[in-house]
Amino acid sequence: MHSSKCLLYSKYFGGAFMKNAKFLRTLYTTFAVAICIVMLGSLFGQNSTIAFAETQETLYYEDLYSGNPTNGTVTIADYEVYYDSYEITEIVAHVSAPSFKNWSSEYSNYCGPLTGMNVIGFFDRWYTNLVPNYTPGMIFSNGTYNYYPDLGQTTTRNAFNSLYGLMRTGELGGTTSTNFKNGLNTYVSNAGYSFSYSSCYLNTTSINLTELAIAINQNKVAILMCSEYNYILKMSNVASESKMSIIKNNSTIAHMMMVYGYKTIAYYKDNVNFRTDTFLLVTSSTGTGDVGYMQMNDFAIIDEALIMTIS
Amino acid sequence: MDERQDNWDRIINISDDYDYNPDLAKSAIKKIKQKELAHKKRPMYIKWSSIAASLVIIIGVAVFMPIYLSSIKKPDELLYYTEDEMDLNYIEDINEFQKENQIIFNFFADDMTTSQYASLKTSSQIAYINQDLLYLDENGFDTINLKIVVLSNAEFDFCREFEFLSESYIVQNIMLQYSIEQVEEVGEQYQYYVTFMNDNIHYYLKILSYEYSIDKITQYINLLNF
Repeated sequence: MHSSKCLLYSKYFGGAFMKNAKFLRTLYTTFAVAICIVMLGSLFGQNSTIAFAETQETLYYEDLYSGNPTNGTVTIADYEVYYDSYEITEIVAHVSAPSFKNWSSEYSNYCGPLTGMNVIGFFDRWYTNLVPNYTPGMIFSNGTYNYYPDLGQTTTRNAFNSLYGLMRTGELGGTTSTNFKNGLNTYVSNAGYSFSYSSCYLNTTSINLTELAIAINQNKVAILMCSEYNYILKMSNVASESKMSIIKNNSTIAHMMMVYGYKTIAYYKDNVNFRTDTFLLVTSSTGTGDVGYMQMNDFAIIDEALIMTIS
Repeated sequence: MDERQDNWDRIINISDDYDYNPDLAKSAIKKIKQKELAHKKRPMYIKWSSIAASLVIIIGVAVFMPIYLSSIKKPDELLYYTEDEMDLNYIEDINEFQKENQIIFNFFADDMTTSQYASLKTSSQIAYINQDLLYLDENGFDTINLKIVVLSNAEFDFCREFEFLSESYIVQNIMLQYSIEQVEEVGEQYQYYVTFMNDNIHYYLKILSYEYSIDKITQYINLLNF
């Protein structure tokens, strides 16, 4: 009898338990599916560049806001080339170029206006109303014209502020190709001069060096708009080790820079040319206002390459 | 609820002298097992979604745990910051700046010097001070850039330019590492790289000059008044 009662007890409680188990299974399944969706969403992550709809343009930045991985990444890409000998087979470049800085954290994503500032700073040597009350450089005793470093004078900071507004950089969080051209055109026109540009684009990793050489010899500069680019901070010949040491970053952040020349280096081993690299001389268009290089036929997606003309 | 109460009442009220039927137990057990089997035949989708969810959780932990652990700063670990992670601001008065931020360092006080500070975007912590100096003479000018790193255990993009400096030199009892390189594209200019430490602060000095002379280094280090 005791066994019968036990059986019936278990049937009663077992029934109650079975209904709860069904509920728990449903609850668990719902939770599991929800976790699935959340984890898969975060695993796929976010896009590394701002991709606009077909009718909209790429925004060019300088900065990667921390916590904003959508702007892109910067990767160290240093390398060395060991050789028996090397030679610079070609160099077509201005002796120096202006490279302006950012002076205030109230500005952000400013590669567009900084590139524009470098262009007008370059041409201010001949067209002095571009930056009023400013002398961009001096002629050394060896006859070369050298641009002064950016010392944050009021007149240049005002010019940068104007370009920042005209290019709508603060409005959009970056500078589009159209806004760069329109903003620079307005600035130059307001100064009483005319602005135009022509293409020296070749492909996504190179530009037309013949066109660039002509421009350099005509006292002009070019600008690049890149969805991805490489930037060489330092190129050193370490003669004691017969090597060229390249300190380089690869970046997937859309960026603009000014180009003021190029050089080509050929490397030899056993008298055989085993490697030839071409580098554009560029202004960094970053907050610290440096100059460096961008290697052709290397990590880059060049969107536009334009010769700048101010007259 | 009523049905359950009725069942419960029936169980409670079963008389102890009820005649035991040995087959009844077997029959009850059989029925219970049949019901359990029916419950076990769950839809396949529940089974597979549970497996999928478990796999995703395991993969997610395996992927994100290393990322999370690597983001936790260990004591004395050297952290690398790119320029993109910095905010730059103008310094009006560098003496006031030092007092306000309680940082002591040597710096250029020349009238032709301009100063900025770089701070981390995430925390506003001051990372380094950047100074630019123009030194003019009748032949041309030197462009001098000094970066003073005040954030401990930190490295920046520009630090890589100062690796593997092959020469050393002592000025004002400070051991300097340096190199002087000809700027090939212009032919007659030289880029100096100088680095040293003083009072646990790292200094990175670049000089672009039309002259090749180690005295250039002495000249500008002396301006820092150590």
